[in-house]
Amino acid sequence: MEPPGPDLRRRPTPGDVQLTARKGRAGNRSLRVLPLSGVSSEELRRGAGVGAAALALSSSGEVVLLAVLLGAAAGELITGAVAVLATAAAALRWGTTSLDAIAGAQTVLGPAAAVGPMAAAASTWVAAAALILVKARGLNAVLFGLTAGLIAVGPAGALDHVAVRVVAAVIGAGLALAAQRWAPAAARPVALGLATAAVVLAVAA
Amino acid sequence: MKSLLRRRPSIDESPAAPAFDPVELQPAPEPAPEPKPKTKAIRAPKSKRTPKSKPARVAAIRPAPAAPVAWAWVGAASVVTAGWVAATLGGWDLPFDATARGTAAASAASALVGASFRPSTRWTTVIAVATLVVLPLGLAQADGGSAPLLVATLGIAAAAELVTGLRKADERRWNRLAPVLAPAAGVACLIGGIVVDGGDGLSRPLPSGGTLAALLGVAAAALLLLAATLGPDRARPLAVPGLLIGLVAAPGLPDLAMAGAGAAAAVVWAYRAPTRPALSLAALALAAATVPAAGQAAHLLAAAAVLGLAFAHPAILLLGVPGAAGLASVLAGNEIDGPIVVVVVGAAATALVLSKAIETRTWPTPDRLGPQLLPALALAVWLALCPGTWGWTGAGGLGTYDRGALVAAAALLLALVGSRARSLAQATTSRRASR
Repeated sequence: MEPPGPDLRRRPTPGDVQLTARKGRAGNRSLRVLPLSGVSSEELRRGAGVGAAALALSSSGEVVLLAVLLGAAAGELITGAVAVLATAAAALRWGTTSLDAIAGAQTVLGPAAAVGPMAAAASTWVAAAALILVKARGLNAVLFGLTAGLIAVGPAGALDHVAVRVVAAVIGAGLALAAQRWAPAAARPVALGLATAAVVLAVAA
Repeated sequence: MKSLLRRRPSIDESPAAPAFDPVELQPAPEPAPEPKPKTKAIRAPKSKRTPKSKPARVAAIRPAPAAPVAWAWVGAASVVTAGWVAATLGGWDLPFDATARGTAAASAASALVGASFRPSTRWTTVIAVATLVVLPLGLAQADGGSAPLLVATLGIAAAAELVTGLRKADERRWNRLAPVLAPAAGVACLIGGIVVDGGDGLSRPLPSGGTLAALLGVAAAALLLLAATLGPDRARPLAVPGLLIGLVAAPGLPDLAMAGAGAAAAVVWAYRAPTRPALSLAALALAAATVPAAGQAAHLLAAAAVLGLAFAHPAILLLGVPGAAGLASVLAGNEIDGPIVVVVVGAAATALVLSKAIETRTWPTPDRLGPQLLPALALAVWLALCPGTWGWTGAGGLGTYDRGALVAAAALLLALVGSRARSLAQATTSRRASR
C-alpha cells in the first residue's frame, strides 16, 4: 500500500465540521461592525500623540483635550498626571482653557514665561520644567518637550511670532530628550511635585 | 498503555511514583477508570452519527438567537423618553396641556414601562406600545387638573414594574433589587412632579423651603440611576428620568454638600466598578448641577452617562471629556469657588482611578459590536467630537473644543493610516525577499 501523497486532503476535524456547518469562520456570531481588531493599543497611543502634537502646534482646541491626549499617548499614570496639572496651570495662568486664546494672549502681551505677575511667570516656568523632567518614554518625550516650549513661549500670528514659537518648541523637545537620557529616575516624582506647585502658583497669581 | 495515554502525571505528583516501574519495565497497575465527563464532547463525524438533513445540524450548532424584540422595546422606550425630556428642556409647545411636572413624571413613567414589560406576543406588543404612548399623554393631561389620576397612574406603573420584575426568574440580581427599586421608582415619579411643581420649564427655581423635596428628588434620582446601571438591559432608560429629576433637584441642596457628595460617589463607584463608569459620570453631572455657571457641563456629563450605559468599558470615561472641558472653562474663567473646585477635583480623581484601572488590568478589546449598539456608538462619537452642536445642553461655548477635537481626530486617523501603510509595505518587502 502506497503512502498518501501530498495532495491528499486531511480528514476534517470536529472544528472544521462546526465551521462548515456555520458557513463561516470562527467568531462570526455577531455582525462585524468595527474592524478594530487589528488596531493595537500601541497604534492608538501613537495616534493620540500625533493628535496632541497637532493641537499643540496649531494652537487649536481646549487644554483639557490636549491633556487627555498627552496622557493617552504616554500611557503612564504619573506622566498623565503631570500633563494634566501642567496644562491646568497654563489655563489658570491665562484664565481661559482655549489654546487659541492662550496663544493670542501671548501674541499681544508677550511670552508667558516673561510676562508677569511674578507668580504667574514662575508658574509657567515650573510647569514647563515638569513636562520636561517627567521623562516620557520614547518619542513622547519630544511631544512633552514641544508642549513645554509652547506653554512657555507660544505666540501665534505673524511670521516672527511663528519663528519664536518654532524655536521654543525645538528647544523644549531637545531638553526633554536630554532629560529622558540623562536625568535620574527621581526626576519623575520631582516633576509631579513641580506640576502641583505650578497649579498652586497659578492660583496664587 | 491506554491508561498512560489517558492520564499524564501532573506537576504535583511525586517523581518517586512513576507510572512505569523503571526496574522491571513493567507497566504500573492501571489506575481506577476516571468517571466520564457529563458534558458531551464534540465527536468526529461518522456516517451513523451525522444528522440526515444539513439544516437540522446547522440549527443544532447555531447559537441561541438574541432577543430583538427586547432590544427594540428598550429602543422605543428610550426614544419616547428622550422625546419627553427634550420637550421639557427645550420648552417646546406641546399639543396638549403639559407642564414640566407632567413631562418629568411622564418620562419617568414611560421609562418604567420600558423597563418593566418585555412583550412576547402580538397582543402584549400592542398593549405595551399603547401604554408607552398613552400613559405619558394621560399623565400630562392629568397634570393639568386631576392630581388623584396622576397618582393612580403612577402607582399602577410602579406596581406593574414590581410584579414583572419579580417574575423574571433568569435575572437574580434584578429580582433582589426589584422589591426596593420598584416602589422607589414610583416614588421618584411623584417626587419629580413635586420638585418641579408649577414650573413652565426646568430653569424655574424651586419653591422656598424645598430642601427636603430636593433631597428626596436626589435620592430618587440615585435609586433610578442604580436601577439603570445594575439592572438588565431593558432598565437602561431609567437613567434618563433619573438624571432629569436629579438635575432639577440638585440645585435645591446646599451646593458644597451636594458637590462633595457627588464627587465622592463618583470616585468610590469608579474604584468599585471600573467597568461601569456611567454611574460616576452621572454623579459628577449631579454634582456639577449645583454650580450655576456649569449647567452646560452638567448636561454634557449627563448625556455621557446615558450613552455610556450601553458599553461596559472604563474607556467610556472619554465621553466625559466635553463635560470636563466645560467644568475647566468655568473654573478658569470665573472666581474660584468651593463647589466648582470640589467638582473638578472629584472629576480628576475619578479619571485617575479609572486610568489606574485601565493601566493595571487587561480589558477585552471591543472588536465586535452588535448592530443594536450602532445608534449609541454614533451618538457617542458625535458627543465626543462635536459637543458644541448639542444645543439643548446650554449656551454654546465649546466651538474651540469642536475645532480641536476634529483636528486631533484627523491627525489620529492619518497616523493610523500611515501606520497601516508602513506595515503593509514591510510585509510586501519581506514577501518579495522570501521569494
